[in-house]
Amino acid sequence: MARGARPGLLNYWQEKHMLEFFQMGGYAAYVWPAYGITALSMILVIVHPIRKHKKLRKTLSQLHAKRTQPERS
Amino acid sequence: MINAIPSAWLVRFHRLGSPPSFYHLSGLIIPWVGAACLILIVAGLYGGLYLAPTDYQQGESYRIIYLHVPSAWMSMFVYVVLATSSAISLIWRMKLAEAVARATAPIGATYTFIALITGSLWGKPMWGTWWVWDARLTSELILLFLYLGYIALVSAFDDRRTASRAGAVLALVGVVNLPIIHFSVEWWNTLHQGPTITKFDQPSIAISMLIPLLLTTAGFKFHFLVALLASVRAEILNGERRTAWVAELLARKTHA
Repeated sequence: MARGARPGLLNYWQEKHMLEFFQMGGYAAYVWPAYGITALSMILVIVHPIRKHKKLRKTLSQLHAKRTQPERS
Repeated sequence: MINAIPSAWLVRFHRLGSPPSFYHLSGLIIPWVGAACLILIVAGLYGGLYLAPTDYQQGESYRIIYLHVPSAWMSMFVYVVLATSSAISLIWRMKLAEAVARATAPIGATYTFIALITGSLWGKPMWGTWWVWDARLTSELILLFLYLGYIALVSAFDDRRTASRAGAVLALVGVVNLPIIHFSVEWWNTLHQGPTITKFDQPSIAISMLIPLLLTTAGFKFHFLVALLASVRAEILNGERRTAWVAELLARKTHA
């Protein structure tokens, strides 16, 4: 695990290093938006079909229940 | 020679292509594929953002590579899936292939969007511009329009099967764009750098930078699988809503 002057992970997350990490050598304004937009798009593209499926299944279940239950009045 | 393949296997494979089996099986494997995707991406980003050294030319800005390259590869890989399933749906009229084709388009469009945005955010500090009309960038933008065109065309028809057939033709015509994207950096003088990984000789990237890239690339593949299975499930349930097996499924659910 020799990586020169780089401290261990626990030390690294100390305040000073954390700041250095988030600064990304001055490119924070490019690197973090890239990661943010990617994460958001990748989550949406999975969440959207799952929610669509759940909603459809619920609607179909209600329709099915209405169709199979004989009217009792 | 067909007898060499055990017929039970053929039956099993054939059943996999039927909507009900696919629906049940995909429901079972989605969580596992999702877990694999998460592990690979977390490992890749730990390696890419923390362990990998700073690039001697590009500084820390190069760390966008761990998103840009996998999403750009996936944008083309997903198009191959779209075109293949389109061809299958045209030739054999297979319902599952139609559902797969319709499901892939928004996912491919997402990867193309990510590739363009991350490329732009990388290009600004390195090239001094968000965008140039060069061959690689323009052909990738055309890929985005192909995906969006496919989605618009398919949603313009009321009949799902007619929609799939029209979309399939568009998807197959668009295949011509794939080699243009891939070879654009060799055929034309562009601002975009040449291939660093997919060269025949040694890749011109340090191993500690390459491993995280391969991890996120694998993670993106699993991500595609999750998104694909989830949307094909929704597509199948919607398309088969009037069939007996869906009625049975709903009955089991309500009376359980």
